[in-house]
Amino acid sequence: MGQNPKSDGELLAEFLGTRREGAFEELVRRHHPLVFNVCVRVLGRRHDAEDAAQAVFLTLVRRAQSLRGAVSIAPWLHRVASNVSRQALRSLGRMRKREEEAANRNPEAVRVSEEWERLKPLLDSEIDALPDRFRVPLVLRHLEGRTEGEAALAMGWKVGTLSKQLTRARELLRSRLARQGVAVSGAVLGAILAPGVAAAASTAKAAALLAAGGATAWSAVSPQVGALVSGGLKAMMLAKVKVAAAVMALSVAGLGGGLAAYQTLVPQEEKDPPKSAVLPPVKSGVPELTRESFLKLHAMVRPRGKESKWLTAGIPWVTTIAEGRRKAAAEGKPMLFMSAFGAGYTDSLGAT
Amino acid sequence: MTADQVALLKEKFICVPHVWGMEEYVKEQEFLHRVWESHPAFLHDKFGWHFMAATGKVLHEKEVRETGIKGLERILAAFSQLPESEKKPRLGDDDLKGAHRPTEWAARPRPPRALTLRIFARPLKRDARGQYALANYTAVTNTFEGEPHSDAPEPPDPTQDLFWITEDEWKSLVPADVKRGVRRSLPDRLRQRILRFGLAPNHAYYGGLIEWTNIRSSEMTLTTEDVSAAQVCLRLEGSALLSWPEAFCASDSRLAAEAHYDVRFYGLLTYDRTKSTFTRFDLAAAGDYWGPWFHRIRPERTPFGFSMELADGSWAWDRSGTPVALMHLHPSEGEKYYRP
Repeated sequence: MGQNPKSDGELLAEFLGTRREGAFEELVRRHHPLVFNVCVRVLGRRHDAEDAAQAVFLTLVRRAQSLRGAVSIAPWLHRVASNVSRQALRSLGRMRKREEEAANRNPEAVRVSEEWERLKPLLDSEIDALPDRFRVPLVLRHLEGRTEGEAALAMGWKVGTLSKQLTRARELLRSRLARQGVAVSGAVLGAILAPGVAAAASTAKAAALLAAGGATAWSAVSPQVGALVSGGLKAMMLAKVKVAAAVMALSVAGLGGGLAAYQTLVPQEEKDPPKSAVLPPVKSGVPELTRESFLKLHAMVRPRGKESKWLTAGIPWVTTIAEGRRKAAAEGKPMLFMSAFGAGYTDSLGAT
Repeated sequence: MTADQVALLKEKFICVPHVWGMEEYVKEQEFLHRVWESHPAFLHDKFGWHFMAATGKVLHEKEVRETGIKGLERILAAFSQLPESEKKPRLGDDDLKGAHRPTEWAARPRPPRALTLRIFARPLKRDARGQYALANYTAVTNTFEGEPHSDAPEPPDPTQDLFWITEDEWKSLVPADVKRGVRRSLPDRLRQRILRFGLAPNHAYYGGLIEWTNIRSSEMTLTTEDVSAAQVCLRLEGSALLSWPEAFCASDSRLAAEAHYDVRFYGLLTYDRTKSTFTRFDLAAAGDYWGPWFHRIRPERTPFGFSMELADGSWAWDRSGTPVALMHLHPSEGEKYYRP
């Protein structure tokens, strides 16, 4: 992701403005591993997962306008990928069969590879079923790959609190998976979250067509993908109800920080009104600036009166050592060398 | 500093402010080390004025603070006693510069028609009414255990730095079709440049460079306040939550791994249509900082503010154009400033 310095929102804006496939291709390249991994865990078969992943990115085209301010669209994509994959699994008629298989097996006899195969389709739905106070930090830490510090910040918690909640979340997840007949270790959990393989070109092509006019795009994708896109959008509408309930539950529990974190995972389309897809700031007492407070603040922070006189007195400072020496030698003058140590840029901060 | 002092300095001296990181070349660094070795006080005196010949020959024994006219005249007298080889040495580029140091990027000229902004920063406090006021040293440091920097009641001078924005970036602020009252998002590239590089020096100090992934949230908008044939007046508003790793303190505490700045913005910009450039770019940013603070951790929220304005070239400093904090603290990361 670090190769291209543009943010997700910037790439989306570029794509919407120019219909340039390259911008969307970069987005697909960045996020395909995350999306594909979710899809393949749920669907099992690579071919089905590729269709579902393509549907997720075409859904992104439909919703791009409201996401163009996002720094990262990964949380949004994870939720949509989970919804689209489960819908695909239902339509393929395999969910019941897999659940029956899982229930009938003896956990003691399951080898690791089989365990993996059975865990994959269950993992995302079991994570989704966790209470939000466990689900949100788990997704932040394990699926998004944030550090503990970052996840704690997003939750508005101390790092220690986050660690405790993560421990409880993993235990709860393991017990839920065990009820499905899969005893999962931490190592397996880690392995299953490993990056997948990205493939971007065909999806970017379809995305460009869809953004350009819509109708012609469907000739570039399979009927299955088209149906998944429509279904995915419907599922997002249904998700609004779940979001409202979760937000209310968190508010009742007094988990203000948790609410802020929860918002970071919620697709912006699920909010009303969808003002922006950027992550909202943690609630704080930082006052908004008004024209009046701005004028006062702007004058207050810059040098006043005798402050920084060395800077403002009109002395023709030479700003490199080499140039100062060259001029002094040429003109036969002594140098005043003011050891400003950062020109004061640390002193007022209390550094000595 | 009196007018007489300034006049004498202008006429008889070559004045060089030593700012961290300004020694771009190996030979400049070698020169500094040579002077430091001969006069160790030079290294330790934070705000000393040091007088020397171009060869590095120091013209006084004791530390010199801002000196009066008589002091300056004594320096000139000492200089006049030096042999010509000290007063007017033959110095070629090989003596003065040598190879580039890792800050080679900082020696490049600014991009053509880049707009340079001065940045000032201060620790603040909020009064009983919640309004910002200046904090003094004690207010900044007294939450640390021991080692209070100073009990000086006066607020310290602001820190200062520079940064520039490219022609494409500032042009993106003024669309061809401008209408009063229209509100739109600040272009992403400029938003990122301000958030990642405009909030130096505090953010850059001892910390990791703010990458775009460290921008946890941000929203910055531009509203066209007034339009005439001569100018376009814009209002910039916004907020951001930044958090970034502070590698320096990471081994001290888990808290030290993250620094945070929860900040609000407000600015007034004027674009002169006849000159095709901005004639006002006043921007203020204020909010709460918490996390690593030099060698310690500051877990409580500390109000901290920035003030930015156009560098009009009236200060020699304006012509430097190099973001000093970035140059000193992240010399290998300079390319990111050119292509954020």
